[in-house]
Amino acid sequence: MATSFVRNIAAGLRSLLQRDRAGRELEEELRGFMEMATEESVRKGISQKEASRQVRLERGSVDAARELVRSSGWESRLEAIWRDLRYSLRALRRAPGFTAIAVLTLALGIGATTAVFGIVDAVLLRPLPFPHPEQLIAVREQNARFTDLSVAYPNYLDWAAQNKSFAALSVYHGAGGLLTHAGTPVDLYGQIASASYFDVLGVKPELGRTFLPAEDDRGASDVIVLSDSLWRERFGASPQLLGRTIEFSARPYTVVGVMPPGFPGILPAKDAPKFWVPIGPELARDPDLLHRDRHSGFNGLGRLRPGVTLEMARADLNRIARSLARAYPKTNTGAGVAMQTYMQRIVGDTSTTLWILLAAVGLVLLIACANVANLVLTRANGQQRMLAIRTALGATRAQLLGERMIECFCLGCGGAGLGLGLAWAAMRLVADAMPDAGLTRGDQLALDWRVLAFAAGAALVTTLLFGLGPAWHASAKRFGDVLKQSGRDAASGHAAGRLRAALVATEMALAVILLVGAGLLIRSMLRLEQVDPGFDSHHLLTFEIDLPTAKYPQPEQRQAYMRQALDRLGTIPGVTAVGGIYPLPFGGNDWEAPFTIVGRPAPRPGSEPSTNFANVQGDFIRALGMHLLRGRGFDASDRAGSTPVAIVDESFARQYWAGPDPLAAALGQQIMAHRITWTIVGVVRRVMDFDLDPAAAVAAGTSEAAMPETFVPMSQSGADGYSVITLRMAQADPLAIASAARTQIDTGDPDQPIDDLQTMDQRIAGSLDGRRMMLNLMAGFAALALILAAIGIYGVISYSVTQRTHEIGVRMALGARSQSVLGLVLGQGMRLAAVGAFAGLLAAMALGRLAAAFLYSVKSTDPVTLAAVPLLLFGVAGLACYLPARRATRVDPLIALRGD
Amino acid sequence: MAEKPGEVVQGTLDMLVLKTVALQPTHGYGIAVRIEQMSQGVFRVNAGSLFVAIQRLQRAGLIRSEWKDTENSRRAKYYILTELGRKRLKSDQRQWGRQAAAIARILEAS
Repeated sequence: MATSFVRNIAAGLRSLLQRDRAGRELEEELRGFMEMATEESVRKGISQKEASRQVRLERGSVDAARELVRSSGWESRLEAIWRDLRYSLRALRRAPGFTAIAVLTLALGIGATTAVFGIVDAVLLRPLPFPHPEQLIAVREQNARFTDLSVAYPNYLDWAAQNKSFAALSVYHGAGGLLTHAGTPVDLYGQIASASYFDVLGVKPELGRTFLPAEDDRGASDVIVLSDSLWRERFGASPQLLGRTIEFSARPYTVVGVMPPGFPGILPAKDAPKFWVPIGPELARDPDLLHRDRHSGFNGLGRLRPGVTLEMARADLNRIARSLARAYPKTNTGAGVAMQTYMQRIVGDTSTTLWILLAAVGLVLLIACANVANLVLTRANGQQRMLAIRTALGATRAQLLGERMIECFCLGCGGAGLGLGLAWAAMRLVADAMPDAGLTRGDQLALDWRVLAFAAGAALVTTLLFGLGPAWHASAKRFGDVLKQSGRDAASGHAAGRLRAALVATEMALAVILLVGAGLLIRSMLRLEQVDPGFDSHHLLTFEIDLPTAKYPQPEQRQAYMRQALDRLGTIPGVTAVGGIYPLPFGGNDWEAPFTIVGRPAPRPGSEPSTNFANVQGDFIRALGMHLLRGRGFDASDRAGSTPVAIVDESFARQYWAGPDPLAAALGQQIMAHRITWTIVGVVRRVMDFDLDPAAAVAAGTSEAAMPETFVPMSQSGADGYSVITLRMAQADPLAIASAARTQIDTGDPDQPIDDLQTMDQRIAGSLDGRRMMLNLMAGFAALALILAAIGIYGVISYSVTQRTHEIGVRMALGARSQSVLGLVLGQGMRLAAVGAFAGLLAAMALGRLAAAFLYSVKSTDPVTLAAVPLLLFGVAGLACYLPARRATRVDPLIALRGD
Repeated sequence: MAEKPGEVVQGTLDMLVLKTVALQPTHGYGIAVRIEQMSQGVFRVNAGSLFVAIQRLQRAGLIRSEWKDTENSRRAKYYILTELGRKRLKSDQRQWGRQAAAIARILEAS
């Protein structure tokens, strides 16, 4: 019954807290009992003394009764645990060396694991900062050729109108803008969004309003919503800003709202969008967006109706897509919908990486556990006599086990507490490095309840792992042998020795697994760094220029600006070539478009071939260090109004023209794309545009493997307002002329900022940042594992030498030389390492398959790595065993033989 | 059953204590004496088991206690049956009766 349970608890607590009073009352009652019994006997005629003796015999003594009653309450168990706790702490204090090493080892293991879990928690587990985030769905398009395509605006309108699954549907895409109001001009990143975007996310503005549905229409005026950080930093958090106009991208925008701090809270703060503008004015400025075949970067985001699942919504939108395909066969054939939860879209591929890292650091924790288990075993050996005496005096196995476990629990708590501190410090450090690794929400690492619970759970599990085995072993009833022994453990030593050896071999195996993983990643990275991107990336300075169309409305103005800018930049001493290109290789963007070859039968709608377009200007071939294979580059005669020309890469030529010389065959041919007919005048060598590893581009869904490239002059394609300027230097460090470049741009227009100034080498290295982070962490874990394993084997061999002092003394007395003793000890250690290495290699080969996606041009069973790792292990193990081995050779046979 | 002749099994002792207290509120020694008397010497209760049983019954809310003076002007803790205890005693008695009858039937079967 619940009440009796409560009464039980209450009584126990009362007894605990008022120990003295409860004890006195019981004592009084028991004494009364005994006295009354004695009186009765006396009344019957027995003497007082005899009566007391009889009573004690028949009824039990006061002390025994008191103990019985006290121990029958649940609170006595608690008291016993509390006593054991205090005793354990005292015992640990008396062995500071053991305690310090054990706690530190545990802290390292638990701390590292908790830190990695903190990252996993921030990026993968923590719910998105929106109401009911599980209802948020990211929607993109897909067709026969691409699994991940941005949304065409007219398609979105039809989905929004005809769907039955979404409470609200919206589109948005990233945009840049130039803020010139009140201060130095600065390029900002923000978003163009439909009015429903904020409804979908469910966030109200901090000030003012978000967009009205009317602002999705073409006639809408330019309004802008600011982020909280922009409002504070640039506008002093002034509430009067609402309703005022600011100059943005050379146009007047009316500020209508400010979003709350932290919105949207997905990207790290420095990459987060700072402003939002409605779709309507964009549609007016770029009517091409209303074409169904224009996939220019829109992302769809919707909120499901309650009770609707992802599958139902997918089926619903696919149904609409099919009816659109029937209605618009030219543009929508084969077009479908690609849907995933918003969380999945944000997290992307990082989940696999993070779980692998968590598993890796878990191995480090296991190694730390094994080390501490060995320490506990060693310590327990020293306590054999004490335990044996206690067993002889009546302690049960359960009692001894409990005491040992409480001691381990104290160690575990100490390790967890210190580990939590280490984890917190590590997360601080990592949070700074994270945004560069491209991990979303990586700057929001915090010790929230999930992380704390994980640390507590890890501490509990590790305590059980390192404590239970040795405690079980130590509490076994073998006291007969031990009491007879003269202090050295013999029979009991064998089982313990085997356990120790097994633990060390396991540590070695786990360390090997991590070392192989790190080794494979290192080899992949080295191979990647040597990949030829198809152009000369050294000595190349790059920066972006984005001309506001309000300031330069006419193409002639933009082209004139660019021409003059390039000319001026060419005058900088040391510059050998100047060009411009968009999208830049390794710029993280691409711009694919379908095309047809003039003179060939038109392909079926929906299966047109695509090519990646790049708009270029100036001497781009020389500036980028590309190789012209046939034909010519662009020159001054290729400008607006003259015949549109294009340069294709060799894969384009080989793919579409046959014969002995496809490159030459391509020259003079014509292709049609973006509603323009281009004549091919040159063929260049293929250039890598996204990642050094082509598989990465395919995995990102942004391109098929080896999509061919087409280069067209900016003046002819009309995309002439945005360019990444590239300056080639003869020899020197490109950054040396950065300020000179800025000066030249300022000369043309002091209000025009340049953005994202980097050398090309920096950009390429940046594309490897994610891999590099994983590599650094894996290598770190592997190194930690190796150090812990080395400490482990040192400890075991060292202890073994101490135990075998007598035996070594005998050997030396019988004539063994130092060499052979050295060999004996080293051999023992190397055997352990060998067993561990063998097991580890087998495990690594089995697990290697899982990591194949992270490797580049390296097999998961790469022989070089599989050979190098054991060698490294033997080297380190040998070093760790050398000191005890040398100690063994110094054993004085006389002292050793004299005995204990 | 009992380990030593004369000792009472735990669950049964609870029932006997309840019955004793039901007849008349008494202190610990009084309960022991009464059980001995009523069982005509078959059961001798030792102090430890008795007071463990009393603590159990008290914590379950079946009896409550009061410090009072005895006839000899000695202070003792008197135990009184609660309503809950009364109900429990009735059900325990019923159950015991059923069990005893069943055992008797088995033992007398030929």
